[in-house]
Amino acid sequence: MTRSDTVLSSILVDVELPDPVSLSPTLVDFLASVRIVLVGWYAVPEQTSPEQARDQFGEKATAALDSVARSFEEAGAEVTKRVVFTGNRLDSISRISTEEDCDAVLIPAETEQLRRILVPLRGLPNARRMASLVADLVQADTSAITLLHVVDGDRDASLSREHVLEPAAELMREHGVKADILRLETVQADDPGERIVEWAADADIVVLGESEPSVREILFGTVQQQIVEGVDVPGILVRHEREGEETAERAFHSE
Amino acid sequence: MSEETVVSEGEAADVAQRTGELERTLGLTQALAIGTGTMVGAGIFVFPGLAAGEAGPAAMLSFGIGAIIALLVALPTSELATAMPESGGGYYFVSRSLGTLFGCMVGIGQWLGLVFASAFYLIGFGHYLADLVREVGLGISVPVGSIALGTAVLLTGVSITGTENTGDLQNWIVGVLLVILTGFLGHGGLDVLGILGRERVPKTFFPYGTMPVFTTAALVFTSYLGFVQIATVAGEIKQPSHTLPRSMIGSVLLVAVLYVLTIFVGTSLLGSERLAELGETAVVSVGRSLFGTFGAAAILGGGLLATLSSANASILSASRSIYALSRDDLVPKTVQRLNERYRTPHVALVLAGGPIVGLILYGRVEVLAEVASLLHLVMYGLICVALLVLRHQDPNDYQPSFRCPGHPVVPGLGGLASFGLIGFMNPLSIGLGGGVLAVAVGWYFYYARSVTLSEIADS
Repeated sequence: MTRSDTVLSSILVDVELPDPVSLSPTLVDFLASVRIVLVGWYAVPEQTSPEQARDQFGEKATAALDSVARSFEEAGAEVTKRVVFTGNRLDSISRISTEEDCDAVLIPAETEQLRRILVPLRGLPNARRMASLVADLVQADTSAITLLHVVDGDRDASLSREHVLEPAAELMREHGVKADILRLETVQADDPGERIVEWAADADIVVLGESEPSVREILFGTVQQQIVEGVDVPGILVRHEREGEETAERAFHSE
Repeated sequence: MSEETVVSEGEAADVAQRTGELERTLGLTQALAIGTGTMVGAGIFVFPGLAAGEAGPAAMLSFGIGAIIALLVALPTSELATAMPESGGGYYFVSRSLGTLFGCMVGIGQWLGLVFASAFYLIGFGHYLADLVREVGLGISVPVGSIALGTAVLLTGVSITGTENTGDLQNWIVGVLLVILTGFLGHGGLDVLGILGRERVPKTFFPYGTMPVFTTAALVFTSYLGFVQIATVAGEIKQPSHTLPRSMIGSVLLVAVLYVLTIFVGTSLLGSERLAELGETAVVSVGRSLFGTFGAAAILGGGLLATLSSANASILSASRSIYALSRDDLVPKTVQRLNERYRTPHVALVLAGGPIVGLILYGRVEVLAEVASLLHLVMYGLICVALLVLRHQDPNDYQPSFRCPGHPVVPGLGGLASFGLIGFMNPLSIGLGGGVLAVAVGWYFYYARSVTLSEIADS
């Protein structure tokens, strides 16, 4: 099931209600070119029935999310709003990202400019989804998209360019990314997470692929979590494509 | 499964548009932990001494009778809960099928029943803490009542101000308890059967005759109140049609096996008279006779955890029962107000915790336990009637995904057994429990008579 290029990529952005932390205007502008699934979650302690919390705080929460949505809409984004009363934020994000078929989840951070995009790759699964997302995010002032292939220290890196970087770059070009801003890099590392964090220091935003089957596991996952905690620029976690799709892709590449 | 999603989304979409969706966060493990955690405190850590004193080794049968009644009710409850996975549980089912009057009796009965149960657990906790102080040899005797009182106030306070989620803690407590109990009961069982040591199965099974088996069943039924609390949070359970029947029936079976084994091992090792003398903390001595000081310490620790967890779970469930009543306007809306800062239902928690203090001052463990059981048994009986009525009327919006097997025999027997067991309680308990129900009926005529309830599937 190939996604048509006319379908805009979508990113899930979650904010805590009723007092959302404000997102930096640069980030809001940057994301305005994709569909935003804005999830406002209201944390409910276990002593309280979520329904009881909604009875009392529902209107205030909805109003708070509306004002966040307005900032995206003013920047030109298409916004889908979801308010959820939840005892577990990850449950809600994971459920809604599936229901809305989101391509990615935002990990927000303060930022002043968003011109250099780092895309660490560990292989090709997910590359199509990442490519179309990155293509949707590219702006006129984007100065560099670095495709960084991280190879485990004990593996042979000689085929990295031919087998991973070039096909990934080709996918990006097919989706309309200009060839002159693509940078292809291979590094070998015993600790891939640590190496990606080092590279992130020279980037404005990191687009990470999901190697686990769900958003929940990425947010808890090992390498990704290390990266998310290590970098101080915003991150975008690209969700795994559906299992069938991925298996087909794998079969295709092993031929 | 897909049907369920469609229905809940369709219903949710409308409300969600205006004020937000509700996340279901409790899986099977958490649901089992709620049921088991609410029940396990009483049957193992408080009742064995009292029960063995009344019925001897035949107290095993008393716990068995309780388990059968609980199962006969858990099956109909599962069907109703999958048809109406709403917060409120027993109250919701009964009010939607039998009307506001019975709804009031069950809702108020469940609230106060849990209050009685919680007071009972806290007195049990007091006994364990007093025992611990004695064991450590501080040479001071701590009054059980004061400990229970202090803990009641503390638990209520923590429920209001504590925003850390303790759900995982509850899972751990239940897990640790199960490990301790499996070790003890497994070893103890093999031991008394003569496989590991000398055979010590007692010769007289009915030292006090057969009648006490039934009165004891009525007394210890408090050990089977927890499964219905799972239905109370049905609105927060993931995949309710899958999780609700499994967790309710599973938790009853699990605790029933543990209860029967505890009595078997206890009466075999120490004898009924000795257990009776030891009272509320008799199982500590059972632990000591199996594994020495280590055994006594493990059971003491387990008893503290179990009674506290049961008391806490009961307070939280009582607050949910109050919310269910208030949502339907059967009590004033003010009781469902949440604290702006902690987002906890502080009014309802005080309405749950406050009366506990009074009951602890009253202090008679057997009466507290029986009144708690009585109020729940009335609800259980009415739940069975509710199922019979709904199956007979078969309204369009009644679409359970789990069907109670053996209809109408199972709910029929469940209802008869629930009401019948009340007859074996002592007159004081019947009087007090009846008084609470009379007050509930009075409240209906005074306040709630004109209330119109929503339909079954409407929330």
